[in-house]
Amino acid sequence: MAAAATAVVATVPIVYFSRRNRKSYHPLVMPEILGQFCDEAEIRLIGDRYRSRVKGEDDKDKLTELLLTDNTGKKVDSSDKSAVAELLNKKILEEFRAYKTIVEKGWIITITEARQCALFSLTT
Amino acid sequence: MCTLFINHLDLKNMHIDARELDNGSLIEGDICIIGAGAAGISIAFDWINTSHKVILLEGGGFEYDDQVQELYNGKLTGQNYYPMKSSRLHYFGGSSMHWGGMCSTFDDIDFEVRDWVEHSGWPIKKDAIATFYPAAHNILDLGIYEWDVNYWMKQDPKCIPLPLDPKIVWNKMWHFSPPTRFGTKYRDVIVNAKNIHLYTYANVVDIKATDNISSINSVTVKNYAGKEHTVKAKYFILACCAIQNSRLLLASNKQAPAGLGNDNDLVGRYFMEHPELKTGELWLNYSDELKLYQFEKVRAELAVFPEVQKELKILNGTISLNPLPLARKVQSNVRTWNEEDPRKSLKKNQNDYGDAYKKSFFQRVIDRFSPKKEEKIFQSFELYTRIEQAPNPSSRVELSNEKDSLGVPRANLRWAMLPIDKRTVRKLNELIGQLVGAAGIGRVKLYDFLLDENDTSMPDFTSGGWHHMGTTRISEDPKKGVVDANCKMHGIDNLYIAGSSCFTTGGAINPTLTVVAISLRLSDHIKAKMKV
Repeated sequence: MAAAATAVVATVPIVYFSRRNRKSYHPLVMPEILGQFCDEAEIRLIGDRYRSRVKGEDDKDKLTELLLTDNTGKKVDSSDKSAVAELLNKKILEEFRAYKTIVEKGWIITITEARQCALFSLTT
Repeated sequence: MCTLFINHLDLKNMHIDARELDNGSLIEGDICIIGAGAAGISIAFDWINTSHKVILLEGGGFEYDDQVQELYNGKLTGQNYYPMKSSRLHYFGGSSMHWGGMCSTFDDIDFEVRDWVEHSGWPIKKDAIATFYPAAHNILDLGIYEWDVNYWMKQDPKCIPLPLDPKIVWNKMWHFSPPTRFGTKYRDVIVNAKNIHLYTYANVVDIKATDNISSINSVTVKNYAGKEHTVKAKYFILACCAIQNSRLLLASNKQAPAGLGNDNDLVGRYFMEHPELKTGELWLNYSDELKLYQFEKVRAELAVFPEVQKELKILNGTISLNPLPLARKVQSNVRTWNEEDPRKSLKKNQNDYGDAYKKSFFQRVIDRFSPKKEEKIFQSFELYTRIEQAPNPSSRVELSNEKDSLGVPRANLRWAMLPIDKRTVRKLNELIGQLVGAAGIGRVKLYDFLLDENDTSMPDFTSGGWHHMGTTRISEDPKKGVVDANCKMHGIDNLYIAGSSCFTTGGAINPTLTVVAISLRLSDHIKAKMKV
């Protein structure tokens, strides 16, 4: 399972070209809303802090698996960017509504967003 | 010429400069109001055209006088605060002569006993005060008496509330007074009222009770002209603000060694302010000026429902939203209002806002037309939090060993907060952050001082609203409060206290509207007693 996730990360192009000369990232590694307000350095720092705090998730494969799996245990294909984005947005909203939030670098974010940042800090 | 002469005579009859009286004069009336600020003038105003003689005593004159202002000087300990000398004004009109005009109403929960807020609970409900809000509203020139956000949304379709969970957050409305300067707006009407006798330069330095200390006989007034006079009345109303009320009571200790009304060591304790500070940033993923929340004739602030306060075990509080590029350039009030001279502090404070506005001008223009999202004026907002301060007996006014030049011990202030104060600020902002995320409209970033949950201290840039409250708090139990529900001092049958020093808890709003309302309520009570 972990090996498969690694393969997914390795094969998914992480960085996309942006029309505003700003890098565009795969939704797995860039929280959509938070990414509008934080630059890459801040996203990386949030990710670093999360990984140092949650040792069990200081791993690309683990993070990828956690991010791609929905509440029912079903996984989405990481190559399907829009499906990934939809899943992550749904998870983030659900977590906010359930008050499952953390504070990293002052930002009130959900665990899913923190994991996205953590994966960003490991893969870019 | 003749008219001028008559007016002059009228003025001279109803306004007396106590420096010009013969030394040792006896002044007598039915009611003696000590202090001509918002509370004292509101009460005097309410007695115009009655058949009763009202003596209104003011320590200063009609203009700022530094020698008189110096009487307010004292030492500060505890939480960083504004200089004692400059946080209140000592002349006719009192601190209304430099207030900002922000007004709102107390909430029902502010009067309730809350098991998570020690020393909370008034012996009256909000209705007892709210009955007088419309009249107070009028005195403060607040326009239409309407506090429902839906009304204001209908007046301007651009006033749209943030789409936060309506079961948790509500939009608390504020009105803005011009601001009404009592010393200018109400001067003529007070001075020309036949039954209101205004004495300026009449600083009360002592309150004399009967031998058994069951009622007040007289008060002694002094001034820099070296004159000392005696004022006798049936009823006395202390309306000098929370610090000076408690100072005068504590200093009137010839008969009661601990001070008048202080048998239970309560006078001066429970000093409260409204801690207010920048707490974080709201970043929206769309552009909106959030007009409902900006300074206009009225505005809304984010508040949370009582059930939520109970669940989180927090105090009442509100969060206002200020455009970030501008707000970032504004310093904390406690850092700019740091001069002993209130005029200099006011100027520095106003200049800071003015400079911030100028410095952010180009950015605000550019932002309006730029496609760049970062820091767009209509995308990012500072969260500015104002909370009720938990009643704390260690937050107090005490007498100094040093005396002022009229021989009265100076007041020292120790402003002290409790862990629940900081926790409230943190929880309120976290909650708004969670609700903003749940609404999918953006994210909230907290400022660093809120990040350590074990840190219960408030940062030294925490400002107050220049709101002094709670040093002679209301309670029906003399062991828990200095005055009863009618603001009458326990154990003394003719001494009343007006204004915010009676507040048992301070609510989360600027107090002036409630100061005037509670003063009118007191006036009404005394009228009923005197069958007016």
